[in-house]
Formats: sequence, C-alpha cells, structure tokens
Amino acid sequence: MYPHERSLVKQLSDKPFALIGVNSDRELDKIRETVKEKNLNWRSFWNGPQGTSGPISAEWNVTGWPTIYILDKDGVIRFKNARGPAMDRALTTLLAEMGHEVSIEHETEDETP
Amino acid sequence: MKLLRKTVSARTLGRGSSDRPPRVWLAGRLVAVLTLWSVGAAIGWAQETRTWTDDTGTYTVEAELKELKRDAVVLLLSDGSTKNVPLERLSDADRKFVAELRRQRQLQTAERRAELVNSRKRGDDIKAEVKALLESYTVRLKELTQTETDRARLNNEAMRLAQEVAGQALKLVEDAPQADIAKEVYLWTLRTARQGNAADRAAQLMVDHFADSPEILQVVAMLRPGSSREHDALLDQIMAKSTDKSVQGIVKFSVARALSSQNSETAEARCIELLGEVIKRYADVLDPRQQPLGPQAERLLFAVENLKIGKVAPDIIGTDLDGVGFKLSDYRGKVVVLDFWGDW
Repeated sequence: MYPHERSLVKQLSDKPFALIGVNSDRELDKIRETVKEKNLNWRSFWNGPQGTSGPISAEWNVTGWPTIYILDKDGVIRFKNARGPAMDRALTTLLAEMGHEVSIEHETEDETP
Repeated sequence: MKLLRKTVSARTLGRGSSDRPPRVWLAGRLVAVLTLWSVGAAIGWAQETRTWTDDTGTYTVEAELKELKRDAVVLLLSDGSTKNVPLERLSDADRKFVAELRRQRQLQTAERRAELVNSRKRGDDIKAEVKALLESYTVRLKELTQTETDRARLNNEAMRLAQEVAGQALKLVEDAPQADIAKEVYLWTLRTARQGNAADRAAQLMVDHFADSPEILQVVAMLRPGSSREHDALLDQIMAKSTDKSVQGIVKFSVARALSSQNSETAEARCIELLGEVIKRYADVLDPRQQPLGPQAERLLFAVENLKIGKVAPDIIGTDLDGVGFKLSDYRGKVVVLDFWGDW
C-alpha cells in the first residue's frame, strides 16, 4: 500500500493530481510518527479520536479499510475501490481526459506494506 | 345438526275434526309439568323450530330444542321462554326423534374422540420420527468426521448428508405443514442444509405457513436480495404477510441495502423509497446485532444520494494530522484519490 501510494504521489507530482487521505488512527502522536518514519508523502484529514467510528468515515458510510474513491477534476466520483494496477488505469484515464498523457510505472521497493 | 331439519307433519292434534280449537300446551293440562329452565346452561347446538306434540296428541307447541337431558327436553319457545318437558309426556314420534338425535350425537362424539386420539398419535409419531432422523444425522456426521480426513471431501460429504436428511425430514412433516414440528424441521433445514433445494423449500414453507412468526427472521437472514428472483419473491411475500414491525423494518432495510449497490436508476429509486420508509416508521427497530435501523438507514440514504459513481463527492471540511484546517474541495481541478486509511 504505502509504496504504491508514495510512488504515485512522486510520479504525478507535476500533474493535476492529489492523493488525500482520511486517517482513522485514534492516536494522533503515533500516526504522526508513522508518517515521518515511513516517509508518507500525502496529506490526510484526521478522523478524530474515535478512530474508525469518527465523523468523516461515518458520513461516507465507510465500513472497511482501506476504502478508496477516485474523483475527477470536477469532484465527481468516478471509481470506487480501484487499487493497485486498477488505480493506475483509472488515474491514466482521468488525467487523459484533462489532456495529460501519463504512463505510470512503479519501482519495486524493499519495504513491505 | 341435519337431524333437526327433519320436518314433522303432525302439526295439528288430529283427534278428528272437533269444533274445539286446538289448544297449546301452555294453556292446557301440561302447564303443570312445565318448569322454567335457566338459559345459562344451554348447549349451543343449532336449532330449528319443530312442532312438538304431547303423548295424548292433544297439544302441540312450536319450539326449538334447547337441551337434551337424560329424561327430559328443554324447549325454547318463540317468546324466548324455556320449558322443561319430561320425555314421557312427548308423543311417540317426538320420543323417536329424540332417541335418534341422541344416538347421532353419541356417534359423533365417539368419532370426534377417535379422530382426536388418532391425530394426536399421528402427531406423536411424526415428532418421534423427526427426532430420530435428526439424531441419526448427528451420529452419521460424527462418524464422517472420524473417518474422512480430507477437509474438502468432509465438507462435501457433510453437506450431502445434510441435504439428504433435510429432504427426508421435510417429507415427514409434509402432511402437517403448519405443525410446530414442521416449523422445527424448516428451521433445522435452513440452519444445517443452508443452501440448495431443501433449504429453498424450507424457506418457502416458512413463508407460506409461518410468515408472521418471529422466526421468519432466520429466513430473512438467509435470503440475498437481488441475488435471484426466488429470493426476491420470498422477501416480497414476507413483506406482504408479516404484521411484525421488526420483521417489516429489517426486510425493508435489507432489500434497500442490496439495491444500494446496484447501478440502475429504478433500483436507486426503490432503494431511496424503502430507506425513507425505514427512517420514518422503523427507525427504532433493532437489527440482529441490536443496532437501531434509523441511523443506519440515514447513513445509507446519504451514501446512495451522494456517494455513488457519477455523484459529486460531498465536501470534507477538517484538519490534517498537523492540525491545519483544509477542505476536500480545495482540490477541485485535480484528479483526487481519496484514501480512507489507517496504520494498524
């Protein structure tokens, strides 16, 4: 998970793209440490001290983690739970709609997700 | 009481054509032996008015037979009063009529008793047979687990055994589909055979005969709305038949939840309609995990209206992990991956 996302953020840094997280860890201090340790390079909302029962995941009816929504430039939900290669394809499609031809390739990293 | 329809022709006193007008008992000599009878002790057999004649053939009265006593009849007169008449004061024809009636009633009682005994015996037999059958299943399953070492084969064999026993058990209760023992068999089948022909039949029989029992929820739990026409038909029947508020709420919510993941417009419209109903009428109903339906339905309604593919994503206004406020809509104009994650 982390390597794939990290790689996406890196590769698409000059494209109209953002990876936004909603983090559901209960302890803010701990997750901040994890972010630093694992070099997580995206911005996340915090779901609050209730963790998985927090307000954002509740409103979005999220009952499983991870849950992924992919939105186009107009904020329209275009894909749900597309992960790995499916996520790459979805992003390629949506960026192409905006006139950006990208080819996403991931280096293999040693770190286990 | 067909016998009472027997018409009696002896309407008049038949003692020649005397100029003396026929008198009725009440005015005649029998008045002395007529006693008032308490209405409360009445036996409720359907009555028709009959003309009763006394043993001399002189007196007649139109009355219904209210009660048949050992040595008398109680007559109900048209004015609502009752008269007790000893059998010895009745004409031969009336006495014959009464005797025949008594015989018929005794016969009927005996028949009814025999029927009752038979049905009770038959019921006990069925119960005993079902019990023995289900016990044999337990024994055979145990044997199977001891002899079969391959896990996949064991599962297959166990399922085959459950199907076989369920089929036999359903056959045993075929003649008494509404009996308690039949309900036990249906529920056993749903629990044990789970899916397949026997479970489908058990589900249908539960819906046919026990749609209004709380156990119907075990059928609901097994049904996958939208998975097949049969399942949907059963759910529709349960909705139509059950008067239980919990059952109604749970079925409606479960159907709505299944519809929420379909992508047709008709499915969405029906889903929204059902959720509206759940929120309005069944909000306080508890689901099998003891959670009220209302908040769940509201969340699902929000999701259906806002979180499906093609909808504009609702905005998120919050703070990042460093406590800095931002909004999802800040990223309009960009392709966004929104990732609900956690490090656990």
